[in-house]
Amino acid sequence: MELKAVFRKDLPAFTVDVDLYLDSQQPVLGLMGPSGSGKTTVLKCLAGLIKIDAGRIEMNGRVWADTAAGLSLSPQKRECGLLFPNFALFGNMDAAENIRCGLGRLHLTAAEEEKEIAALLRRFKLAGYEKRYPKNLSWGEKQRLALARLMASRPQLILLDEPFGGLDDELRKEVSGELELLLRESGALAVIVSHRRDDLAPLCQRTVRMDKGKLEEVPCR
Amino acid sequence: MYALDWSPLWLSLKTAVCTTLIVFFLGLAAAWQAGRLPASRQLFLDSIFTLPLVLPPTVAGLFLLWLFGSNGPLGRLCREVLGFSFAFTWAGTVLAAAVIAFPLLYRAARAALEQVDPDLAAAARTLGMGEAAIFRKVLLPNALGGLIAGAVLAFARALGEFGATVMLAGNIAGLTRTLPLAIYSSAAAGRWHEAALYAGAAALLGLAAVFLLNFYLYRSSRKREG
Repeated sequence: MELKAVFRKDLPAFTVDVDLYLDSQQPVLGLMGPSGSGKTTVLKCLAGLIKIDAGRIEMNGRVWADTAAGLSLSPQKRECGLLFPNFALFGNMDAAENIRCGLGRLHLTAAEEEKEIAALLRRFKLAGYEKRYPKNLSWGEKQRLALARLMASRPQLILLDEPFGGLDDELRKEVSGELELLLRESGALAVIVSHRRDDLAPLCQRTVRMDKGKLEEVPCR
Repeated sequence: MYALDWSPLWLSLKTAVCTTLIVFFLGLAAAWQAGRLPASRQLFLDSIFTLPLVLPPTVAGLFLLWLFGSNGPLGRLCREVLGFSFAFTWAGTVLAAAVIAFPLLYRAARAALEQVDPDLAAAARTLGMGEAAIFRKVLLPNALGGLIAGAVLAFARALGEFGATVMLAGNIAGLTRTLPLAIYSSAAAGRWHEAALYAGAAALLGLAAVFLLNFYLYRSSRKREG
């Protein structure tokens, strides 16, 4: 597994300029920085939701974007999952339907889909919640559903945008434990955004700080 | 009871229902596509599609008559290729009402689609959903409230259309004389009792439409809070 991402994106206030490298030795990268420093933009560029202005993004030898070649794969064509800070769950669908939306790329039969959905609900401690709607879920349950939906699409790169939100210490520990297990199990590469170093330390092999679009390495403890 | 010709009522209802169906799909499609364009082109399209709302209806009607009249460029094409005319026919009534009502539904659809959290479509894309599936499963269900409100407004506007209708479709009893035209004709001929009955029917229809709209909005806001 290997991610090579060197790109530039011009924003109104400043330019985002990044050079990122992830591989199986250091699969999880922490991305810190103040609000408005461009962290979410980096994630959206990696996911293909925003087009980069210059540079190249290559995942496992497959080119996701290359401005020199005029190439930019749509988000649908990249195997990249993004966890939004507000989860972006589809309020008009129940939990099972939300997860089903992530299974499109796998081309499963109806029976296989049902099995996969049931397995994901169990894995993320949401067994029995098939018909619950997002508005009837707690914060933690919403996050787990969003993660289940994300993992349904079997991403090779997982992007987590502020997964710790404004949580209290106990919930923080719980989420941290779950994420650690998830990342280890999936074997995917990941970038986690947080403004708290303590959140990132247990999960990330490397941490970088972003300020006004520029990155600097943050030394390990 | 007064032996009144109620064909204007049925004509108005028929016209309003057909018009609403047509502008619903056209307006929704236009709003969906417009929302995906860059801002400068959005501005241009929004202005063009809103034009019938700000033009005097008779001006719109005159333009439609020029375009779709018997010797108009599109009118002649329709007659020769498709075998029907818009001028002084019920089809013309529907066309006039549709052009006038379209901006109402288009603007409502634009607003309804814009207010859907953009992160939802973005999340759907990262999950691998295609644009058509995103529209059907994510945008449309979350925009439905605004769309229905727009449809009711379009319906009411189509019911009340006069200026463009009379220019293009004329005021032919039993064929294109909708309620508003019937009210005018009766009043112009001094048949005040008749005009009052027609006006009462038009007012009741409008009231029913607005009542249904508010009932629907009230119920859906209660459901959301629940």
